[in-house]
Amino acid sequence: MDPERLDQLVEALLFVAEGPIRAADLGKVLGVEEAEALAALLRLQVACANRGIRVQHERGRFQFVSAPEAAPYVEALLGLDLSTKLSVAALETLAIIAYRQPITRAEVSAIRGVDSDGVVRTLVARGLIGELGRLEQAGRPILYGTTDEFLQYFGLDDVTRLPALNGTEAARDTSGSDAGKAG
Amino acid sequence: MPDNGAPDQAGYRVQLEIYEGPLDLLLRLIERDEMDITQVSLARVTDQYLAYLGALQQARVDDLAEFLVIAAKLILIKSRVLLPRPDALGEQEEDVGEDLVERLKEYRRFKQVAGLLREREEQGLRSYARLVPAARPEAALPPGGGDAALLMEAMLQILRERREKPVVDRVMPPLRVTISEKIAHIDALLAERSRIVFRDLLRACASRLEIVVSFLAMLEMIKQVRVRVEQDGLFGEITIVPVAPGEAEPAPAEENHEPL
Repeated sequence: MDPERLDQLVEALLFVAEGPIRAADLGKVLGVEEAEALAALLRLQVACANRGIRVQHERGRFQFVSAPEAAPYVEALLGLDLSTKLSVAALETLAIIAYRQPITRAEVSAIRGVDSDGVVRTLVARGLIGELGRLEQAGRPILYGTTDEFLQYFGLDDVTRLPALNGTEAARDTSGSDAGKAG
Repeated sequence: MPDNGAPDQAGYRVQLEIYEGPLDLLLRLIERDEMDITQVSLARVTDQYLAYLGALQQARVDDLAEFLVIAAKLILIKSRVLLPRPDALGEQEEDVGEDLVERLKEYRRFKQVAGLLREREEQGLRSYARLVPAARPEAALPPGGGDAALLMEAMLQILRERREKPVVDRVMPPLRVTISEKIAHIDALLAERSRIVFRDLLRACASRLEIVVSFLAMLEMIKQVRVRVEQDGLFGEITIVPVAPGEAEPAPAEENHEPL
């Protein structure tokens, strides 16, 4: 398929999809290799960089989201009240999880130097982090990672857009890695 | 926080700042003095850390233990920085200071990201996915028969329509209907009509219990591949039709149903 046509079709499918969609699924529908579909999605992401809608990429799944700059107007249109802010503890925990996912609660607590079970629970309840699976070791602790709602909350189209820690360590998108046994 | 002297305790309590934990406290003490994170600077803020800890002990906090662990390390680090020591000291001891320095540096990096996230939150730079799902044309009907979920919906519909009738005469024994009786009943009906509307079958029932048993009987017959169900439209009538003998392998019959 010629790339221009593929780009159009990928854009159309992303528009009608009800939620985040995988490159592999797009590829299946369009009869192209996953890699081709992925390349088209990434081209679309670049093409939308200055548009009112953006392409969000989370753990191998893509969806259209509104541009972060449009947020106040979107909120006015939809009548959303977003006055509640995250606590310092919640922000610290999110930062750690974004760079070290998949990560257990114990590891988060060790980095923060305080027990973080409560704040992790709160973040799960808010949908900003989710369970990725379990670590295959004693007690099979739950592994956590950031969600697409996390990206939306901070208006990021990809977790790797966060600045590299210390100039080297990038935030992680765990789509490629196998985080223990899922479920 | 005062460097020395003993301010009255009430004053401490008022001034007590909230830190996110011992690392947060240490980091702020060091940054306030504009020092780099080193063992020497850790040693220099040890007294301030301990003063804060004294105040903390009076306010009751849950994670005091974590503050105490760090306090012990600080005291060790400070003692080593201040006192000349023989080179013979084990390397293991050396690690306590380096380890804390590294942890603090790592923690600071995450605090910086947390600050960045805070900024984005305050600027309200959010994205929104479509909140309303895309309009979807009416789903195509499944080819051929329906499934258990369809039946369940019809069942619930009937149950909603029909509340349990009050028992008038308590002496009368309740009607007993068994699944095998119902299966025989459905078989008989199918023999004369060749198809039954599921809703009619349930309407003829005298009690909710009988409806439930009818439903179970039909599920059992589907499982044994004696009947299948069809639906001619979304929310349309569900009809039960017999499966022709050659059409499917009959599953082994199960006769272990207790009467309800």
